[in-house]
Amino acid sequence: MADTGGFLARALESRWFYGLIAVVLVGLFVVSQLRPADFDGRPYGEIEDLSTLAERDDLNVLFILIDTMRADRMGLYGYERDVSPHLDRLASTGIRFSQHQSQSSWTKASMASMWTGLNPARTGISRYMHSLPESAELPSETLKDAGFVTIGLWRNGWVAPNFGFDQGFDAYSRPVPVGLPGQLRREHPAATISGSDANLVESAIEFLRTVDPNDRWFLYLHTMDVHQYVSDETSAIFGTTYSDFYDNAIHWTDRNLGRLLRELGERGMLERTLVVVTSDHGEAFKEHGREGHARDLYGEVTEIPLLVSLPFKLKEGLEVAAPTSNIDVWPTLFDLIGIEGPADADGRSLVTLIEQSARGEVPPPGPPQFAQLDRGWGRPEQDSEPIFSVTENGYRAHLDPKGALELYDLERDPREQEDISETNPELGAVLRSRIEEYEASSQIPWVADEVELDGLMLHQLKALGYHLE
Amino acid sequence: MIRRLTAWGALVVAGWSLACSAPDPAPEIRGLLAQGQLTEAYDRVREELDRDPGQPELQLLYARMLVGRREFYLAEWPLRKAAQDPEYESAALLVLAQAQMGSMNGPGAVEVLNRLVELEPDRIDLLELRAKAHLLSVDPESALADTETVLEREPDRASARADRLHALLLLERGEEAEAALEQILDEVMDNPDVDEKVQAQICAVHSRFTLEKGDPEGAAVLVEECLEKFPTQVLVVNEAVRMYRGKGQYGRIGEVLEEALERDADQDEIRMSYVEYLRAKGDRETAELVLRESIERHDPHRVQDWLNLYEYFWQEEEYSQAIEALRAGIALRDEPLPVDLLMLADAYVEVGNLDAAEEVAQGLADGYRNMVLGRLSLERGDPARARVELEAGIRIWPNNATARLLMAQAAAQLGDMEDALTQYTEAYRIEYGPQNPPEKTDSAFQVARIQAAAGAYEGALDFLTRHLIDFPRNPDALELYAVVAQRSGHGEKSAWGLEQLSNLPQQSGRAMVLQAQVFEWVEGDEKALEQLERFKIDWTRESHRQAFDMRLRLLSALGRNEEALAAVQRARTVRPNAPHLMVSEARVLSAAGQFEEARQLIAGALDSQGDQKAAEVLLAAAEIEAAAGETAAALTLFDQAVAADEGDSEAAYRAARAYSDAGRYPEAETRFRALLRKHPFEFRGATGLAEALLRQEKDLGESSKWAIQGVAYRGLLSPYDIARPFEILAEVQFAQGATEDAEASRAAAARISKALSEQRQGRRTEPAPGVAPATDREEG
Ligand SMILES: [Zn+2]
Repeated sequence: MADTGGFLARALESRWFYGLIAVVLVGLFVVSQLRPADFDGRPYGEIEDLSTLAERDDLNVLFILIDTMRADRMGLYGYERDVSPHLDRLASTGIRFSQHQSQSSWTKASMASMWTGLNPARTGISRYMHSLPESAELPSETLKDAGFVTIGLWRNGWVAPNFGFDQGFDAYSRPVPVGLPGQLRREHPAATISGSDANLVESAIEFLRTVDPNDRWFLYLHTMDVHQYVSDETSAIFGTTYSDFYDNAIHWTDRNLGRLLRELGERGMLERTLVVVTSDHGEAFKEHGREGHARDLYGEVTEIPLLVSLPFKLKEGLEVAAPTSNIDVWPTLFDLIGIEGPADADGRSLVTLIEQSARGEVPPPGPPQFAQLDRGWGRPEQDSEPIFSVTENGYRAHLDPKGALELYDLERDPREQEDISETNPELGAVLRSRIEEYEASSQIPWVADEVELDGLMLHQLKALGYHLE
Repeated sequence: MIRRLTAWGALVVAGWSLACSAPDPAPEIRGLLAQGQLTEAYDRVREELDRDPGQPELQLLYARMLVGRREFYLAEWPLRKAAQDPEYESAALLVLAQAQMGSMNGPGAVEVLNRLVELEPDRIDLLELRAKAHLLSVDPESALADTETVLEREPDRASARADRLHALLLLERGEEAEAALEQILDEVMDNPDVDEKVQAQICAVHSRFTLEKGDPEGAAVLVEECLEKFPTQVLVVNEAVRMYRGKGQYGRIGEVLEEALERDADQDEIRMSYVEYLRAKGDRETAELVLRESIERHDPHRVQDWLNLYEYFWQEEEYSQAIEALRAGIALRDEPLPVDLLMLADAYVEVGNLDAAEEVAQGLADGYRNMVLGRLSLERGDPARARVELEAGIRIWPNNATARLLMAQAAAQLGDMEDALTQYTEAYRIEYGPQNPPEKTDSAFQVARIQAAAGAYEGALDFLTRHLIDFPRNPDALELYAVVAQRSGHGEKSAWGLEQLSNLPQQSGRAMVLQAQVFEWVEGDEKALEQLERFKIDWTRESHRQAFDMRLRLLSALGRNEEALAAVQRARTVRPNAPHLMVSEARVLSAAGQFEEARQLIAGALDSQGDQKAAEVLLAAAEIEAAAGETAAALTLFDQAVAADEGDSEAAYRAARAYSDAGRYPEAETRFRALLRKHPFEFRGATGLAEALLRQEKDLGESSKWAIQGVAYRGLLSPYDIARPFEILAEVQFAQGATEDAEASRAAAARISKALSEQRQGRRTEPAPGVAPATDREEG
């Protein structure tokens, strides 16, 4: 029998080992303090001042997308662990949307919807070879036309330039450190992509150092360490299960983002920057038997954060409790900064909702929210296998490719554990028809391009832990 | 095909990048570094730029510093800024393109170079750089177009020809590639201006090309030519080794390596290949010598040489010598590296010098120290402490599969089977995830073991299948596979496992016993004996002993003592002094009630062994005394048997059980606890401990915990043992006042016993419980 002793000997052969040594040797670069300090010089303001933002010609947009961030694992969404002090602090003077949902649980499909404001059925981006065509109009293009310097810093291969996500960016870069010793342990067995979000933030800071003070900019930062369960020693404080590692990685990401916010604060840029934090999907820990994401559409993989921090502080953080979707994000931002976005978006501006929430009014019920995932996304040979969910009036229905419907009462059963479709056939039928209408009425405004992935690219995507064939 | 071509296409590029080394991007930085003022310069430039970012010259200087620090990805921003000034645009973009390529960002570099080429369409070097960027982006068509433009304008530009070759290879245009290669060879091979290293690389590439074209003979000729011209070039030597390995000509590999080393003893890489070769050949003496030679050649000694020697001894499991080498290496450093100390601590544990290991561990950083202390605590028999340390270690080093295994062991020793299963599963997940490291532990086997014990046979089979891919010759795994497959009704799989097992050296007897056991359980002693006699049992073979003894036991059980005695005595006429045959005969005699004769034989067997009494003989002696009703003598002998071989879980279980049967529960408790610590998967021990605690009227909670464990993990018990966990659980439940549960447990026990006895009397055709899946856990 293979002897299990001599473990260090075996570990010596593992790459992780050297990562750890580097930590000990290099002592790591300094990532600000653990607790957020006061670098925030923004003045106080009121929700009524929202309308003044559109008048300003000096506003920047910092758009932070934390890949794989489920809402209920953040302090600002009530998580009991202190994982996200910097973002919690940002939320305490900003606007938090407490029932926010992504339109897919797979990065590329979700991002395509988020950027275009279109539901997945209309983006046509559902399979792994699909690429956003030139004719798709992305916020980066709109903002560039409006005179913004547009910068994208990304680390997830699904938003790489060959999938069409670089449109409109003056620079669209993946920061890849070279020749630096590994500084972190990658807790996710799949974590092979190089670098970490610390590099992303460093790169963003270098951009801020060089940008002309008179230029307006749009900076999109797509973090990846939560997806990869990467953290450093100081952040690894929550235990040893996969779920704990996920929290460690959130803690690490929060610290990195804290460093960026501090930089903005110290440069006096927070006063003229709209900071938005959201995600593309969540992460499952066997709530429905599965781990990871991009396999189904339950809340653990679609309920994500949305946080908008204004160039002024609210005395008290505002919660918008009405259901909102990722397709609403850009219509809202365009509305806020007074720039006209694409006309035919499925999403809506949430500015009215924000104002109603601030006045304590109960908004009228919103439109149904849809999410969609093609289960065959990673297998080009296989037929399309779309699954759908619709959320309306506190209920969520899931429809699988064979037509089987599950129904959950989110108020009573927010974790979607008890399927009530048998006892509520009428409600089930209503929601089923919603999905059918959604599917039937969807008109793709363009034809999604198809790209051929080269070996290198495939390898990189597989390294993210995606199972491609 | 494309991947192979790419691989050696990359070889070409590697060669050329050496041949035409890029212009030095940051002479300023080198200058400042030489003066030791890099940090000051860096800080000053940053300060200046923070004050006013609109200084393109400084931005460019700053970017060059970043490039010098290999922080390519940060250089992007000052370069883009500098490029906004027409005066600096070209210079900045060129550095930016190089930085992008330094970050392996081909498409990014292409984008920048497109802009540059537009600015300066006449510069050939830009086109050439763009061709390389296209290659980096795996866009061979564009690369080919660029190189052809370059060659049109400057036909003699050899570097462009290499890029063109690379592009042709990627495009799988074999004939053109061959022509291109030949042209390069013509120019390079006898050209005194070309570095020898590059010539050697091109030579190696030529050989590989020929090999992949399907001409191994031609390739061999070429590689020998290369060796002749460049006998000490690592790339050529490696290519030759690779080729001869493919052909199975190992002797030639040795010659090539030895000769290369003789000509140039400074070639560390070749030296290590040679050591590896010698090790594989089993020539340990020379291997060590070659390593020591490198140590002696350098004055002062080099740390790496000692570490190489350490590594060698470690692989050879010569831990004391490994420690010596490692210490010699560490002594050369001003300050030991954490990794040195970690290895040292590990080696100390390996030789059993735990105190020394602990001392070293105290000087380690958190994560490491926890790991070492965790392992130490486990060695010292303190699983609780081990668990705490390992937990802390895993927290910051979660991908260490072996630490997970140690954690699992600690949990199992503490009786926490659920956590043990979790930890084994985590180890498995690390090893069999997308990373798929080549070095595997036996995590999958361990998961299977627990699952099988819990009656989750299908899952266990899956894990065993995974495990057997990496460890196809693990007899324990094959046995478990056969047993589990059999119990879950997969006859063919079971037969496959048995066949694999019996094909392993020294394992055929074990396979026979396993197979006969199934007959014994399902169809009774007679059929089992028939089955066993179908095999050719060779009692002279050590590995057939178990099968031989089983045959004797079955004969005795069937009342055919005479035959049993005759068989063993026949064997003894050939090997009169073989202790194991004496034991076999003693057992037969004991079964016939002839205790005195049996004792005499045992005494003889013990005498023949001097001070080192075999556990097996002592165990037999104990059992004979027990059968003869001599309890006190039996118990003493049982303890002696356990002391003689601590690894024998069967002896340990029987000893503890003997104390329990004799009503000596406190001693039984101690022994069951020791058994469970040492052999946590011996789940009969859990039931035994539950009983010992119950009879002493000790903590009912603990008793209940163990009783439940005994029932939950009964999936691998023999049918004879399956009723017992339920009986004990029933008693515990009665004692707890849980009458209903107790009745259910008792009924389950009764059902099992009844089924078993019916079957033994041949009145049932269904397999006995326990032979069928034991997944009905809710019974307990
Ligand atoms: Zn994602």
